[in-house]
Amino acid sequence: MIRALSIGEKALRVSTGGSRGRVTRVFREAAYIWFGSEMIVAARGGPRSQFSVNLETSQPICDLVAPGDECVVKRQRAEIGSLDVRVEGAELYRGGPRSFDIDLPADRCLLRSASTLRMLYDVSESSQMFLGSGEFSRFLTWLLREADEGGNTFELERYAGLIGLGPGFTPAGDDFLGGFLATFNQAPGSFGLMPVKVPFDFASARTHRESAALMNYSQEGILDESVERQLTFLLSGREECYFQELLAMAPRGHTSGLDTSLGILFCAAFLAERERGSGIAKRVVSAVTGRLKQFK
Amino acid sequence: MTVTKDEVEEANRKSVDGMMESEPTWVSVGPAEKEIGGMKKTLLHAGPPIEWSSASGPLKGAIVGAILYEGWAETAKKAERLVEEGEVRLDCCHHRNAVGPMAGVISPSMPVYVLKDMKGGTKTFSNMNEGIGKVLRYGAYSSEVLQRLRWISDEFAPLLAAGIRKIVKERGGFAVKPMIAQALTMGDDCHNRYVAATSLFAKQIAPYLVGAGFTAREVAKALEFINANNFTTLNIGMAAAKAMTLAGHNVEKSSIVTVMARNGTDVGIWVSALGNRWFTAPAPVPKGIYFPGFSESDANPDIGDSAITETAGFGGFAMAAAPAIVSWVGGSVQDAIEITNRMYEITYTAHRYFQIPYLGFKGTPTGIDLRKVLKTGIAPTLNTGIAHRSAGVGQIGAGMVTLPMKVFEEAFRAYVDRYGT
Repeated sequence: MIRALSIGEKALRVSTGGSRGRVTRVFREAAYIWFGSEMIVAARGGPRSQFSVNLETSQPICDLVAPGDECVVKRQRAEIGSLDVRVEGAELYRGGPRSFDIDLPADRCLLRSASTLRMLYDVSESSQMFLGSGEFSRFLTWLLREADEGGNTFELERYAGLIGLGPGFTPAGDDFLGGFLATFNQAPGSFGLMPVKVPFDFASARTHRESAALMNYSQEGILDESVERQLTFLLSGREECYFQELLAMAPRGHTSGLDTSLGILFCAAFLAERERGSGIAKRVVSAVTGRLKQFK
Repeated sequence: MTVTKDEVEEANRKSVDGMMESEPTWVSVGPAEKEIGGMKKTLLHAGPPIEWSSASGPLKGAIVGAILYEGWAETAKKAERLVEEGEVRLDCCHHRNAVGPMAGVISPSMPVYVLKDMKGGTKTFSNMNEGIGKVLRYGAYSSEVLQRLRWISDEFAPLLAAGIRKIVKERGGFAVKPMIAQALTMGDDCHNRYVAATSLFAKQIAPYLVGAGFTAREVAKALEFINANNFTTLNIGMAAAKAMTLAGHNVEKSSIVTVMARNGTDVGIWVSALGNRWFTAPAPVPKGIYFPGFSESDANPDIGDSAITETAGFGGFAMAAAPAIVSWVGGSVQDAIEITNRMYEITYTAHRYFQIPYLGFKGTPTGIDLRKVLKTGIAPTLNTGIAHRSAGVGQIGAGMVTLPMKVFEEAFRAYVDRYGT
């Protein structure tokens, strides 16, 4: 039997709602479990979230559970296939969107972050498959125009091209959109904008169902604590704390951490452009993509 | 200033090529005051800068011992007062192109190995290895320790000096890189396992010591000392690594790490493009095997300049070449291989000349790239001796340690500030 260190509020509600869950995907660090139309994640340690159960184990998750395993959760223990998990005593993680005063980062902070991400992308293989793609380029061109012209940013087809784009179980485009929409939907009211919501069915028709579910959580503000801290610190002007979180997320996945951080950064740059009109959004995008002419 | 990916790649190639192509050659032995210079009432120490008040037990012990050795004070208390009152200055070995294992204290009268990079011309230095256990570099300063230091200075060093003069005359010097390369194929890692390297060293210098004009007894005693101390060549290997990393240092735009060093309190690193600027964090305590009667609670945080070996692409990075080392530092043979394999993820290339037979003669992981450390979340892992945290006790074990990510984060921020805005 292994111990659950923490269980998210949503994960507890979903898993104890009466139905049995089923494992659909398993990796070294996480297993994705569906209870009907809702998903939770069983993770090996790692950042807490409302939708995860964080397990205390040194063994890879893929050595403990398998796709197809059933999952039953009672108050004090869970069974995932043949794995017994002691849930009693686990911390109940609430997380969730918090309100804070928006204090958009200075241009210097945004540019510094852009350079940081670019330098880390430079040592990541296959990053160009996303950063250099036509779909991403078109999205950025449109986004920068919206920033310039103060337009309405909810046109579903603008985001569609990014869904499922790039390599990885959570494709780079999904991670980027997760970070972007998580940030955008935190503070749209302050900028006269409506939240942007990509329907789950729309997303799951274009990418892995699990990735679509994660993106859905992100746009609803249901984030893991690392992502939540990063965007909170960035939007509230706590530059040093933000930078620390950005670096802490960099090793996540193949480029998942970088892609999510990129979404957060580009959204912040977009909001800063609308607010200050300093040309910062273009400079940030140029600094990351390296395509100076196109985005200058 | 902003840099492109290609510019950084080119700078890193230049930095790491410099490291791999340097030719560190042992050329002489002499007192530190003469060879290094500028050491009036000054002691050099391992690691980043440290004030006496923050120094760890073993470093303080080694400093006291060095002061007694120099005759600047008659008692340990008086020696401590000299430092407290600023009459004896402390400086980093690295600031003088020198390196020292563990406390790494070098005093003016101590004999040092002098190496010259025959490619670039720079000189590097290291003190002489006393052996294991209760020795100065682990913070011991008993009369036995001082006596041994005096023997090294009065008899051992002059004999080596005479021998190396002959070698220089005959063939220009003692090339250290080939010795390291061969030792790596013979089961050494050339940080905590120097069995093969010291054997190769002894084999090569013995004929020159015999004909150096010293008595048979003196030569025999020296060779016995070398035979009993497999770490004899550690200090030479470290000075060679210092020469290699210096050859890759101060390259504009390069994100390659060129120094990793510990003073028993802090860990510090240099990055090629950022010059001699230290980035520091508290040093962790190594995990390993302890001598009977000791445990982790007795251990001092990590200490020594010997991490220069990993910085140059061998040492702990070459643990897959030295399976027997696990009996000294702990872990399993598989752990040793995994550590080497993991280090490939944070380095620029596989070494052109240092090869690991077990990995199909693949070159050792060389050229720690700051960006890769941050991207992967993998910090360098080294092996090391473990000192007792109190002065005067000495070595209590050996183990492995992973450097704190904080130093690389700080260095990366500075690199971004310099080249990303």
